[in-house]
Amino acid sequence: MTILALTGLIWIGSLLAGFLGALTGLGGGVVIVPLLTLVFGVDIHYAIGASLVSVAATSSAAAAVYLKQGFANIRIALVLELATTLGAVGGAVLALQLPTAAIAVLFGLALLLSAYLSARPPQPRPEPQAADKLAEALELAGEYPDAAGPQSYQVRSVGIGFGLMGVAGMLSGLLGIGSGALKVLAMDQVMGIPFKVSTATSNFMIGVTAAASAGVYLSRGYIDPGLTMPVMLGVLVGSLLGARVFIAAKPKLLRPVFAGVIALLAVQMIAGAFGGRFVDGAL
Amino acid sequence: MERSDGDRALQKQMGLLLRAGVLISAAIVAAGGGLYLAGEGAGIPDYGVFHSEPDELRSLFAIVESARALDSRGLMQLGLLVVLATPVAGVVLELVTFARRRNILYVGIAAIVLAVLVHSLMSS
Repeated sequence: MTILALTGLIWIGSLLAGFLGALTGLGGGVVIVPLLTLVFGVDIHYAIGASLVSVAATSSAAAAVYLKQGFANIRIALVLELATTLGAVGGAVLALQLPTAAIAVLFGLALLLSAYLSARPPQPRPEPQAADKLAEALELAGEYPDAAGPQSYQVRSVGIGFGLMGVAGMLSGLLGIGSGALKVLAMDQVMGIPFKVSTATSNFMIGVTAAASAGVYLSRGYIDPGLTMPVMLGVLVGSLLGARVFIAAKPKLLRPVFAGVIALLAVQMIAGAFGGRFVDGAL
Repeated sequence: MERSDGDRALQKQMGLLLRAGVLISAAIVAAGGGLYLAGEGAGIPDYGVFHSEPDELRSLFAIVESARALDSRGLMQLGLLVVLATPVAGVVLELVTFARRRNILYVGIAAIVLAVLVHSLMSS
């Protein structure tokens, strides 16, 4: 196959991933690495580099829309970015040390977690409690627009949320994913932040987190422009199309189906790692 | 309420900044991609085995040099750098905004995040 043909196929695959990711709210980034490695036979290091840049582009585009509407909380993002950026640098450095097969297994486990989190029924949000002292000192409380007028909210469990964000950042740096599912979980379920604000703030943070580990990836030569070009442009266009359809219709069936596809890819990644599919090439 | 008005303005500026960064980046990547496919589209791809990128695509200044020479790979890599630099520019905007409001606590937080980002990107 020529470069032209492969670029076209990767562009179409990435467009589909971005479209389904936006339509289901799961993000397309999580399927990019399995798509590139399992379907197109790309080395996992190049795949992770391409995924990381594409995730940063897509989440920044989504965050721009949320920011305009007034959902993202910049203070919460900035405080939690302390944890995600340090975690991301650590994860990227760790990725350089681990054997390729170990990264593939970890990736499979992260996919399974992501599929589980998205397939389970919506959890009841914990009862709103008083903001904790740290949240008050940091003035994290905010408000978001609603049909019934601006709704204000408090923030709690800043410490636990901060720790979870460190883990999310580490996974992002290690695997080249946005860790959006874990970020939203930490803010929505643990810190008691409204779901829409959590989603918007998570998208906003993903770009900063990705930038923190990208320097390490770039200097080690993980980011190949010829490969990343169709992935980034495909995911970007796909997710913009998906977001439009998402506003028009709320596809309930698609979410479990996409979660099923993710679980299947997870099993493939883990089985591939044990079957000797991911071996360390010339480094 | 002065605080939430100030945050609202920052949200709007940040939204514009991110949108501009993504658009500029996509345009540069697409232009470089067109040149790349026109020049090397008939070649055989080699992504199966990892052997790291050449030096001119691995460091900040080398990428800018290579893009100025209108090298197609250099142009695409520059576009990818722009998308990674956009959130960093966002943190700079936060730093400036909180400094103007004399919010020392948030100036400090933004400064630490910025230091981590700049250190990571400059180490390349």
